[in-house]
Amino acid sequence: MSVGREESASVGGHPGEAGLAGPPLVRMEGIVKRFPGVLANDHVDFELVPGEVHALLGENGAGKTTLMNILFGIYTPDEGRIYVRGEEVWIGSPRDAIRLGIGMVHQHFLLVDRHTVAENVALGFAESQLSPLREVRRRISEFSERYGLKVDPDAYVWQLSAGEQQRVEIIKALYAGADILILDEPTSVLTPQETRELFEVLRRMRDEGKGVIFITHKLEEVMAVADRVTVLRRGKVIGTVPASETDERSLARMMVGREVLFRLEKGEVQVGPPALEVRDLWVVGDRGLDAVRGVTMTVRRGEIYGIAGVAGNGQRELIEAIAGLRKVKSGSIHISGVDVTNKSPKVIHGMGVAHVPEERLRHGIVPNLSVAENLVLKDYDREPFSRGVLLNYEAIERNAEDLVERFEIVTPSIRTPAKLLSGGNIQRLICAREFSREPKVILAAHPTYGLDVGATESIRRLLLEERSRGAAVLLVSEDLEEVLNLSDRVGVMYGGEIVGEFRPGEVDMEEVGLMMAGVRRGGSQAAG
Amino acid sequence: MQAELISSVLWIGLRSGTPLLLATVGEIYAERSGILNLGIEGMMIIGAFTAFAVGQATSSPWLAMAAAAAAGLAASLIHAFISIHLRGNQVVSGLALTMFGLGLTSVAGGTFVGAALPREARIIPSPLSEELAAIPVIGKALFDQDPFLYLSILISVLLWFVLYKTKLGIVIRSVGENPAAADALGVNVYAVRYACTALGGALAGMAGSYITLSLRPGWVENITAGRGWIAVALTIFALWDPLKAIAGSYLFGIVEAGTYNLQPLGFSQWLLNAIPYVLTVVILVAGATETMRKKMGAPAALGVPYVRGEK
Amino acid sequence: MRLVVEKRTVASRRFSVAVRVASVAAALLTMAAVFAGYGLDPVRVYGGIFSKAFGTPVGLAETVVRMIPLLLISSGLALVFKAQFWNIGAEGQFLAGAMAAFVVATSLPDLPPHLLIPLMFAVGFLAGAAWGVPTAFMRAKLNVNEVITTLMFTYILDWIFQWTLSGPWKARETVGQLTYSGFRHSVVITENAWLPLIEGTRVHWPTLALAVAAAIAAYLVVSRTTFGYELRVVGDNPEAARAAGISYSKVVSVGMIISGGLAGMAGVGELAGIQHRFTAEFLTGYGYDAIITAWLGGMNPVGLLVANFLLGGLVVGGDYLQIKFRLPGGMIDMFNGTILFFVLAFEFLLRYRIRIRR
Repeated sequence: MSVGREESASVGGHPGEAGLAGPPLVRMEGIVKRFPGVLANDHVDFELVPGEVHALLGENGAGKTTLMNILFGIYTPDEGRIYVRGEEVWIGSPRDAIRLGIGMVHQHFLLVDRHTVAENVALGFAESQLSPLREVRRRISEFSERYGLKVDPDAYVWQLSAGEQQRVEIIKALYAGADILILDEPTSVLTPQETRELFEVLRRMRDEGKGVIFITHKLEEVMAVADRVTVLRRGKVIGTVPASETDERSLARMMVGREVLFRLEKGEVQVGPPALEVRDLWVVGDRGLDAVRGVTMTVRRGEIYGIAGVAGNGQRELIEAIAGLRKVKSGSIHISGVDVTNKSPKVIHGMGVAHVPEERLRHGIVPNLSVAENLVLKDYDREPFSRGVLLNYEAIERNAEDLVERFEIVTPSIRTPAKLLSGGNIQRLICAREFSREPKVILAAHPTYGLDVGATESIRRLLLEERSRGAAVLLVSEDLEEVLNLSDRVGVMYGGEIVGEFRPGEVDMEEVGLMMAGVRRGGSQAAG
Repeated sequence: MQAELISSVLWIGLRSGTPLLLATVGEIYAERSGILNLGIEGMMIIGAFTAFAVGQATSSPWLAMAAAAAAGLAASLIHAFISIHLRGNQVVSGLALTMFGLGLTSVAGGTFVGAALPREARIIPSPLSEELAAIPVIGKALFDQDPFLYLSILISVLLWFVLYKTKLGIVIRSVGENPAAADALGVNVYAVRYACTALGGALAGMAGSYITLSLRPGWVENITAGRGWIAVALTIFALWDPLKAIAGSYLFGIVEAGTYNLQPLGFSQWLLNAIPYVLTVVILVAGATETMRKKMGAPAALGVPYVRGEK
Repeated sequence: MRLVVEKRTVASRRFSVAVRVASVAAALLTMAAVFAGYGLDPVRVYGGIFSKAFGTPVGLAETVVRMIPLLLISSGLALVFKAQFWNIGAEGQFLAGAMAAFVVATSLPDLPPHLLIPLMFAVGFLAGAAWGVPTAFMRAKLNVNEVITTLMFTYILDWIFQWTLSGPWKARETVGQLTYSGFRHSVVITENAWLPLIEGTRVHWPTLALAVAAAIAAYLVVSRTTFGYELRVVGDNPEAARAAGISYSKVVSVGMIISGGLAGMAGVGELAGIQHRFTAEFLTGYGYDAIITAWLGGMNPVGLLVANFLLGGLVVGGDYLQIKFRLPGGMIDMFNGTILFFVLAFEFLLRYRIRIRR
């Protein structure tokens, strides 16, 4: 396990020597973690030396986050040993981890929305009981300066962009004196430019001799920033290699266990008449401010319209307004020429609008109801699933058997509570429910978020099939690659507006990134 | 005449607002830490009875009050354990605590029903200064009260300061908003929740003691008469802020005291007895409307058990 | 060696029942300690309760008498609890039903029983529902905590009721030539409004039949109808319900109409079957006791029947304790609180598995 020593030494120069002289910052040996029905970590070995950025690569569900949650004390391992700076340690809680100089930036930020940046930092680190914020403000500015982490200490967290919130998380870790920093999928919420800035911060930290663990499933990021890579697959370590001695293709093979297709087959489809028309739409967000500001768009049958953009720029409110879940302030929404502005979700669903919601567990399923019952969530009050006030369980179960087979939902039985399904199967269940009524319009919000490669592929294939069938698909995703690969047209959303519209391939990534950051407007007028 | 009436309404209003204030501030702390405790009524009556019993035995009102706080605290720990460690339903657990408290005091107080508290065991108003107390209309209400009442204001202001101005306050509020965030920074979420629920219990116990030691010195079953529920409503009305709780509790007490003066005008005493409960509904609706308008709801994690690493 | 707590995916039905039984047993044990602390022999106390409530035909009949309102009320509560709507004010809805039926009986005393009695039940249902619905509405539209409002509505109606007994409904008693206002109770309602009893007992069988029907109907509504489906969706995931276009207001309002209505009918049964007039002690806490049986019995007619029968026995036993051992009536509240605490505590075992590791 000494690969990469010379690598890390060659990178920073001076700070790396600390790593050569002393023991590794972290060594995890034979880590095993079981969850009901899953072996999340299967005798995993992992090592981090000072002055390196170590990427932890793997598909979703490969066990990367579990391993790091163990290192950070959120879970305790069922078996295995952990050494920090050469000494064996028991990390029973995050508090233990922090004491050992370990910091973690979670994928879902652990920030108190209603508090200010300074309060969020003071929560862990204020030294004075009576004026907790004064010292904290000063140190925040210091860190901002030193690592290029710009953030206003008195801003409320809910006002910050995802990139800014991430900076707060990094500051918190630095404040704790962490020289072992874990970042879980840190780029998923960033624009390409913000990602580059983040990498710059990580390099500065590495050059100071800190160790950075970078969890990701994106190969190009590994190549861009990591010194070494450990690849996990199904809870097992496949190997640890210096980044300079590998390439994306072989990493992909290690990660998935077979050659991967990087592009989906996307056939030509004759575009039909407009199915979804949005005109000058204004929608108010949760905080009482305009979240959607004058959006106009048309999606035609047989077309996928992708919305790119950093989360929190009005995508959610746009989708909810179209689905009838959020009040429209002004403007109009037409489905196949019929005005559905401010109609109820039921009416809109009845018009042929399907909705694959953003948080599938919160909005998509009823966890304790059976798979069969979940499959009629939108149609339980229609023939044949009910007659009058009575449910027709025969029809409900027949429907379930049919859909489970057609959409390849893996479930012990159709009477199993939906909560017991895996993420991918829950999403297939939702798609089965929504697509089986042959909708005219499909609203798909982050449809593959958090799914493993297999499930992601199958969901994307389903969307493309729906497009071939003649559905108009409005796709929102933070995964820029997904948007560019699936869409026929792309609109970039920033600050509640569509700031650019183009066809994939017409505009380079740099340009898209600038639009996502709100720096530039434009793109070709690719209006259908 | 008019001024005298107002003066007396204010005086009584502040007194009857006192147990509400203490219980409300206690519930504010519990809820700010994420624990919904609907058992205030139960803890309050346990405190009320304890104070009565200890007061009778020792003739020391302060000892009685301390015992009441301890009893309320002990009762709150049952709820805390079920809510925090056992992750049980907090609504039902709070109800159980109320039933338990009413039952326990009825059983324990059986032989005392109707007994009055000896005078030396009571908390008696004594003017801060005769001159100030002589100020018309407001003098009596502000300057001729008992030390316990002034203490309760002091406690509330102090707890407001802790909640909003200290690191401890940031920790408590964070635990109620996003326990995972606090946990990740090394805060012991369970300890904070236990402590806040226990503080709530102690204050509810003290609130109860004020009833038996001062407001209605003696013992009858169900002596708290729903004041615990009013405190739950006031918590929302005060938008979880101890300073607003002072205003809310006294306002409630004054309106309640004022309505009793309607009796001579021909209103039935029975119907007037219903006023506090009508008022409770009114302030709940007002509080709910206000939180909706300000988009400033309950602590985000209120009533949600925290388990590390579980969503 | 460490204790490890793991999430349990599904608990078998048999295990669930066992856990419920164990929690009640633990509560009984705890209360035994309380009795012992009170200087009573727990074996004698429980023996007394058991033989009084279940040991003789008379006792059994009394237990059934107490079970009737409990079963009616808890059927509705179990249903509305399914939607995670906490109607704690069944006591008030019970009273509303009884008061409305009283008005009917005293205004139409000459109506024959086969018309008058059904009318009383119908009006009682509507009154109980009407007294509950505003709270459902406040919850749905303003997000006002229904635990407090339903309880406050009970307190409010109770004072109104007490007022009627001191004024408008207070009976004038006639002794010879003199009429005067006596104790705080109402007139006795017309015999046309009295419910038939099972010979030799106080069991008013029409209400008993209604209660059993209600328990079965509530179960069928929850498991077999579109409304029951909506109720379960709202209770399990209100956000998914919203996304599916299920109206929260409609679900909790209808749920409240059913639970408030059934409580109202229970009040009618109590007035027309047992008391026949109002006294200041008309309310004895059935509305609160039923919360426990609804929680214990779950949405299952057999479970509800068993839980209510047992609690009915406990109420009978509680009366016996008061008389025989001079124990205060609050003992039952303490029992109830203790049972609930243990039920909640033991439910942990349904959701988590505790293992000892190395």
